Amino acid sequence: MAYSNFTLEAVRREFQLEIVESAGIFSEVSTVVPQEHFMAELAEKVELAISSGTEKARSELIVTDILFQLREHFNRRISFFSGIEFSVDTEHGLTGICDFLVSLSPILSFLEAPVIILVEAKRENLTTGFGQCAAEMIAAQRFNNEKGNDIPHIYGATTSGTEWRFLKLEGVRLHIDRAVYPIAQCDKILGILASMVEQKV
Amino acid sequence: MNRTNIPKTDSIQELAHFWDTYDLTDFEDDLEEVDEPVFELGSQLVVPLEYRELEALNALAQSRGISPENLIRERLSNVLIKYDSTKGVNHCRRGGYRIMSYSSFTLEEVLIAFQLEIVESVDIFSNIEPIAPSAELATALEKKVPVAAAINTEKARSELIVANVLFELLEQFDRRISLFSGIDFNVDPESGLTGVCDFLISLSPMQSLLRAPVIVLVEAKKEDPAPGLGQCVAEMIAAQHFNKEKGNDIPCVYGAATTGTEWKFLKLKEKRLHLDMTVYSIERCDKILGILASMVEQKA
Repeated sequence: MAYSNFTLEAVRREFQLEIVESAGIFSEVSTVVPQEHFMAELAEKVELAISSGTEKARSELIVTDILFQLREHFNRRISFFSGIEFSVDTEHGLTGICDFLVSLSPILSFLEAPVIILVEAKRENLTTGFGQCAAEMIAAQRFNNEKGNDIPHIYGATTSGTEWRFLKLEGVRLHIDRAVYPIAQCDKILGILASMVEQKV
Repeated sequence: MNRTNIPKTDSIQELAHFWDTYDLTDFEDDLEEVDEPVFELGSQLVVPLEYRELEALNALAQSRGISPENLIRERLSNVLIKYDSTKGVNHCRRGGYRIMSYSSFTLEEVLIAFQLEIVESVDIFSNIEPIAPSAELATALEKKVPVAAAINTEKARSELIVANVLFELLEQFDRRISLFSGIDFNVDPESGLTGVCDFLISLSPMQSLLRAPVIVLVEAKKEDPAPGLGQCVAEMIAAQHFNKEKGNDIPCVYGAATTGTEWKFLKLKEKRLHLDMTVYSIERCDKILGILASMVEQKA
């Protein structure tokens, strides 16, 4: 068992989650407008990512740049990790590699608590990433708790690069936002990610 | 009691006949107690399938008019390649099977398997004119290289460095070439020329579909570019085959093995593999861009 084996239903059962679907949990957050050249380059990369299609290309050309921009926005006071092993509880299947992970610590050389956002990249069909992302969020909750760095909420995102969906875990309550944010609203996506880091939502 | 011996044969027919005639108690003195299992099911494997997988397998087998077992065997023979002495790789596995794909080749194995001649030198690419990176790339690398090195996964290095350098190459050529990342490039499964390529550049501008000629193959590694060389060469041979099949033969195919921060370059001309022993650092990004561009222009 590993993160990637979890369906949303399997996570709900295994960890007794209460799932709440709602529209627009994140709709009120203010946007973060990136610099103009970032937008211009992103537009070109999006086009290339769409035509080449693989999850790898989408991660490289879009998701990485968005998370890198997020770190810049916070003046590098936060860290993000890509493709690291995040094994927290083997017995419960909370083990495996996370596509992307954001921590509130500025350290990049190793992962320090608290882990705040888990991002799961998918080539298409974002809902198939919910189970995996939720399992990683629970792992983050446990990881933070073990390190004595408990924070009230853990956030998640599943993304194809071109579309983003967001999750929020509060205790055993998992909120799934029904809204789908297209990369054209990149300022909104950055705003939502920033509000997660600031734990305002 | 003087009697016949238990026949020393594995023939089920003979043994069945024998044990129909005699009884086990006739041979008490020959029996021997063992503590460990003697008969092991070495040739069978139980593979749990999900219901829908089984359904799909049955449907596919039925449409082909064969049993699902035979369908699996048939597919498996494309994966497990018998590597014996006739193929050249005789020192690696004793007459056995291997699951072959690009990533299973070491440099030595790929040279023997495809009978390549290797030429090592220090100056194949060293005289190539550098190309100054755009201000965007220079700024991006300044920020991203330290982050990639700190996170230190192959994925982070690919995302934060390699993809950016190759994207710039695409821009330099005004999108007249195409860049593919993480695509299946299955050319000749029987020779092990199958698998996923980290990055691949084609001279065709078509981005939705890989078209010949494939010109540069880039293999990303986490710690050291050298272990990526065998895999990269296997992909280069595959590109050679692919281009030829598509009637788009070009004289040379190029390769790079990289950690993002360090780059090693290769050139394959027919059966001759040129390996540049110089390691190029990302600090000399202009040099790296120059070399990649000369590959695309086939001047290197």
